[in-house]
Amino acid sequence: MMTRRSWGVVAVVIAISAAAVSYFLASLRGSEPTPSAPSQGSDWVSAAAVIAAEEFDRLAGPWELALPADHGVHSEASTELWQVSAHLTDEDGLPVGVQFLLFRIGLAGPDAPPPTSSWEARELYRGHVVLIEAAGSTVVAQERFARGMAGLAGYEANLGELRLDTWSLEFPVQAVPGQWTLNTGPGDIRVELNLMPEKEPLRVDGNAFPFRGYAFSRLRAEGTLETQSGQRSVSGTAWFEHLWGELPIPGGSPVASDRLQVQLNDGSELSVVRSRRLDGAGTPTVEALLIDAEGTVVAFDDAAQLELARRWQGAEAAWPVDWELRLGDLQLSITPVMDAQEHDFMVSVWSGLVQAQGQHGDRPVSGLGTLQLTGYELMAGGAP
Amino acid sequence: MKQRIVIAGTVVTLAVAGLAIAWLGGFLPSLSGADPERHRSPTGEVPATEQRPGDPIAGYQALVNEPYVSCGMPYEAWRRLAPETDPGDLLPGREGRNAELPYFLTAHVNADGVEIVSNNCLVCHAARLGDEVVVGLSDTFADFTVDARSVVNQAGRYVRGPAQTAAWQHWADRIEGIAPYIRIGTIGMNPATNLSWALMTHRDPETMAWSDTPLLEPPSERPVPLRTPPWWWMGKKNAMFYTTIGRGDHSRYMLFASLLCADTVEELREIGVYAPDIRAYIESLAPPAFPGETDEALATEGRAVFEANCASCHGTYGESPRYPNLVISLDQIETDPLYATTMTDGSLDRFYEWVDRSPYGGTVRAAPAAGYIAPPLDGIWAVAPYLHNGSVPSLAALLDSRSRPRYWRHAETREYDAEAMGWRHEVLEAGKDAADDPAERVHIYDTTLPGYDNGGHYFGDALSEEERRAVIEYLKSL
Repeated sequence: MMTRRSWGVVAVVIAISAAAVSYFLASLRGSEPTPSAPSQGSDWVSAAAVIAAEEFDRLAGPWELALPADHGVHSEASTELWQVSAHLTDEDGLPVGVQFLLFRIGLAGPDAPPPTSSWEARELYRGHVVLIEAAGSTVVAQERFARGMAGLAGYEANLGELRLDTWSLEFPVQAVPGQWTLNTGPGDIRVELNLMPEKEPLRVDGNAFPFRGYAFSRLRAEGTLETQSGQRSVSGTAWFEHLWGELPIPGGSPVASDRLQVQLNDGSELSVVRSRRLDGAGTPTVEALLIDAEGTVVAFDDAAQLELARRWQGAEAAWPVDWELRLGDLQLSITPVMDAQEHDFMVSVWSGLVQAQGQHGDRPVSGLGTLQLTGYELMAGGAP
Repeated sequence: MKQRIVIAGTVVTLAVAGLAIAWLGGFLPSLSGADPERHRSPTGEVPATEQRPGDPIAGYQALVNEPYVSCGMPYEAWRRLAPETDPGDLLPGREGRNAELPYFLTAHVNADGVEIVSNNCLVCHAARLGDEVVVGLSDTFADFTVDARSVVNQAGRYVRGPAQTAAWQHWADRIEGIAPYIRIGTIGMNPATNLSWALMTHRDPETMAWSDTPLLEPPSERPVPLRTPPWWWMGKKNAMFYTTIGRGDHSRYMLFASLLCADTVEELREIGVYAPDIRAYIESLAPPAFPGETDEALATEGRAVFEANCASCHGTYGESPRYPNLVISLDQIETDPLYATTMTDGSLDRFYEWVDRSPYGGTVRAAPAAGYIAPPLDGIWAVAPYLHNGSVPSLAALLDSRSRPRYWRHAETREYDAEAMGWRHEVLEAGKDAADDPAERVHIYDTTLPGYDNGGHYFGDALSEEERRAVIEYLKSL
């Protein structure tokens, strides 16, 4: 008998994407020190924590997901994240991955007096895009920072448009089941994807965690890649997540997490978070969710069996890029489409396109996914 | 090649010599005074032991305010993870931060100035009954099925700064040591016995120093399923726990609950100062009154049936109560033998010896009997599910073994069934194996699994249906 699990578990699993991603933000070095808070990871972490503590209240009270309004900015939240992970194939059937992320950090709480000048920064945005093409084994990435400002960075409610400079994610303003459009791309490359939800959103249980949000675990994705060598069609599926509140910022915390999202060809999706202590002690823990073709969620938590099968030595760390996974009667081997998907953002991170191959009961299954690995260069005494 | 063998041989010889010396010096704990009989009690009557006096009012204050479990997660992390406290989870008489925390948590500020939130005794020994917290009632719905390390890592994501990190690591290290041994397969079952063994595995009994690596052979990773008995029985019982393992000074035995975090003998001694007060408070507890109607005439009939058939083991109630403190042998009671057997087959004697070697060795003794105590029945209506393993969901089923379900689970809504006398439950067609969803599996009580058997205590089968109804009506008044 299957039952729907409370979304609390969903929340935990989703949260880690925020963790993994905000980790980059947390590691911006060279900014001004904040003497009031002891610096463990970086000063940005301390600064963010101080801002969050002083200006923002923990989100409380009842909350119902309301779309399209909830696609936009929640200025009452200290931190906010939008993330698209697209798992595509090109015209030759070769894997293509697109990762798009936007992170907002509030600098002034909801009770702050109105800004005295339009130049006064009320929020900061950090974004990145990664394009991976198995054909030619290319990985191109770019990250951007901006102050929140109309037309430059932020959300335009009447257009339903989330923007960071020339990158944008447009949500349908009128009808909820309309088409979304992602316009992004590293450097001169243009990526345009039309996204159409294929499942109902999963809602985060905001009572159990200091943040709220939702995930569309499967959107149909169609679009184009435009480079100097011409335009190519791509198609496949995407996964979208949007979270706001007190998101975990693990750059300053003693726990680091890895996140795996897989979209399988039987219509199901898999989300796995593996967390471990940075001091090298303790046993890593695993939280896993399987979302079947009908949208029913089964949480496996620590019943998931996960083995790190192989490491790849990058410039900064030995990243565990091959995973062997067993969740009930689902068994999957996770391998990267190429090993070199380490990104030289503010800290090094491995965030890449992976292939999944295995069995679900007696049926063979396969798919593409996104694996994010963080904190390995910080691990004491070698990574467990 | 030859040389290496010789070297290895030398090492072996030295090790053996070391053993011999240690033996002569009495340093090897497993060989010192190994007398299994010292760690066994006979079935039958449990003799009384004089207890240190205490002040029950001071005991309540200490119970709900003192940091006798001194490690936990930083308050800053807890505040982010936890929802707002349900007003129904607040307890009176709590001071400072504790006044706003749910009953099962206690806050204190550690030596580094970090505010720590820890579980207290009430995590297992209090429960919500309607809108109210009942101290002493064990939680039928307590969930020890998750890996405790998951909670540690979830909290760790919100830990900031060196002082908080150090406090979190201290707690995380201890949870790491015990987590494999305290995870149980069914909601409502309590792994506390195994928790004690796991803590003794990691602590030097003489200094209380913690060791990340086990100092003794660890206990089984499959804790025997147990239902936590209510505290208000302690006033009548001469020994603690189902097998009466807890002999001697109960207040000192209770100190073992502080072993998760107390790293020195001194810390235990400080807790020991107010432990007699907590014991006195526990023994002063009265059960909650049955909240429904009772049929007085039927209850009077039931009392006669009870006194003729049940009182010889469970005692009498009313104006001049009598409680015989009897351990019933496994042959006689026939309930699931796994717990009493593993406690008395020698497989846990190393932990009983640990107790002897601890600073409390002279005043407390771990000596289980090969049977189960016939408990007092005060407040028995609230104690469902029944038997030491909670395998029988209602008193009606306890008194008629033919109606005991093989597979069952508590209903989604927590509603008391005053007819059957137990929390509402569903009878299931199949056991845990048939459930695909792990989240569903932990709700299923499967009496075919080891330790979960629902047989035994067949004494009610010989009564007529009318007599059983009358006894149940009488039991409502206890």
